[in-house]
Amino acid sequence: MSVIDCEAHPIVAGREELFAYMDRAWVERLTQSNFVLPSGIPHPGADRGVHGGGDAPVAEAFVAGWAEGVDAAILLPSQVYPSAGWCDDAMCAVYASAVNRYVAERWLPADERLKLAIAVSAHDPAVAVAEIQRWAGDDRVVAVSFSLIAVNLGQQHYRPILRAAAEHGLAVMIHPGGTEGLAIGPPTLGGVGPRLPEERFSLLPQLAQSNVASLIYDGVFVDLPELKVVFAGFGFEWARSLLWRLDQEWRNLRVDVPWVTDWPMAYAGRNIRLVVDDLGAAPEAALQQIARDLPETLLVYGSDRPFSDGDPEDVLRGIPEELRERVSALNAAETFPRGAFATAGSAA
Amino acid sequence: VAVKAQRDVRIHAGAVDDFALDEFRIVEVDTGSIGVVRTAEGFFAVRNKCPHMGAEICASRATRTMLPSRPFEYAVDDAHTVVRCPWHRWEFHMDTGESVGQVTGKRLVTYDVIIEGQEVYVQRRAKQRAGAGAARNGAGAKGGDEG
Repeated sequence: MSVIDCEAHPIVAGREELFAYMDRAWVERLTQSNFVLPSGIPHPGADRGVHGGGDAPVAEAFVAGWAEGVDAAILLPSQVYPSAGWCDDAMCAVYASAVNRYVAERWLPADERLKLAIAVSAHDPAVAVAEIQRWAGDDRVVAVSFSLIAVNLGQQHYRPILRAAAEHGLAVMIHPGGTEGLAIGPPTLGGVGPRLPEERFSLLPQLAQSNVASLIYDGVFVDLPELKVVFAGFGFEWARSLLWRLDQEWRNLRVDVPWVTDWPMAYAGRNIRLVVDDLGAAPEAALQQIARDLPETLLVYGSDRPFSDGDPEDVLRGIPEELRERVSALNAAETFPRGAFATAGSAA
Repeated sequence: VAVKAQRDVRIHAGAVDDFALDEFRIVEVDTGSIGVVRTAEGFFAVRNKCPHMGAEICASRATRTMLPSRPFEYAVDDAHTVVRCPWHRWEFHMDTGESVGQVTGKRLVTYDVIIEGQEVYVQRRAKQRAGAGAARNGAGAKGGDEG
């Protein structure tokens, strides 16, 4: 069985290494302002990762730990995502661009199975679009990733980013930035932000739920029918109850959203993907039933390396046998066409 | 306006001039009531009971609805007047009884209206459903609640 890992995280080894990919004036500005490279925290388990310092061969270490049977891995530069909570939007864009270049030069050559979801800052859509266009010709780039600011994805703010991604056959990947509910800028969770990191982590699905509803009801997939939006790091078990509820309410508010001409569950199956990177504490039998009740195209596998050891079985055991091939690889191959992922037995 | 119906096959619903545009007149029958309305497209009669949860659907005025459109570019359907349930805003076409936008496979019961001179009658027997029994609502295999 083929396995495509839709969520792995590269690490920028150190601040000085990153500075090599920035304009000198920005290096000076960041040095003067005591810029600290985000470590990957508050991801749980960050201290178990392969954080090196200086010139540590982190990409090589990542490849050396590659799980057997995994055919490809999409790198999401998670150190960029906390920047959703930063105030200097120009700095956010420069930083994201530098990290993309770093990962492309320092990680992708380590193994041809590595692909990149370039990171952009959502603060300034025009700048994000320019970054997308800069990478559009690089076939190692399969997606555009960012963390959310306090605007829902269906609103016009993000539309230029989503449109540019769709035009270039890139999926859009949304990942928590770690600052949700903590600062002015990123979205709050459940009204007032939760107090504890673990509490916040448990409540992150709220954010994905709001944005799934927004994407569907606000007509993003009417505008961009080919677009795939992938939520990574938000879990998946909430999707069944949400989509049932969205279907129910669609019937009552159709007149308000006449452009939504199909069931929300159907849009989700065509255009939304959820990365299964963690089974949480739910019983396997319950998870398997949830997976059966969801559209068969909705779920894709992700390891969340280096915050897990990357054994696909840790996650795929939560997926019923009849869906495993889809979740492990087929859905990903369809979601990331630029990856040209060859999947055993693929009909795609 | 309530008109007590006879158990005749045809029910007198009033004179043409009694009908204000898009306002239902309610005809009581032994099994419930029927709403009769004059719209820009003509006269229509429907059972005054939403197939969703049984609300008196003719309590609202007949109204325009929205066509599928580009997001946030609303397009009024000028060709049809529909009835919209006051409870959950499900809408139905009054000629066919079909759900607007196919949000449900359930239909509103509809009746023929007959105009003779200045008088308006409702045919007591419900219209036959075209293609009755066929699976009409292919969408929502996972989302619908009606079998």
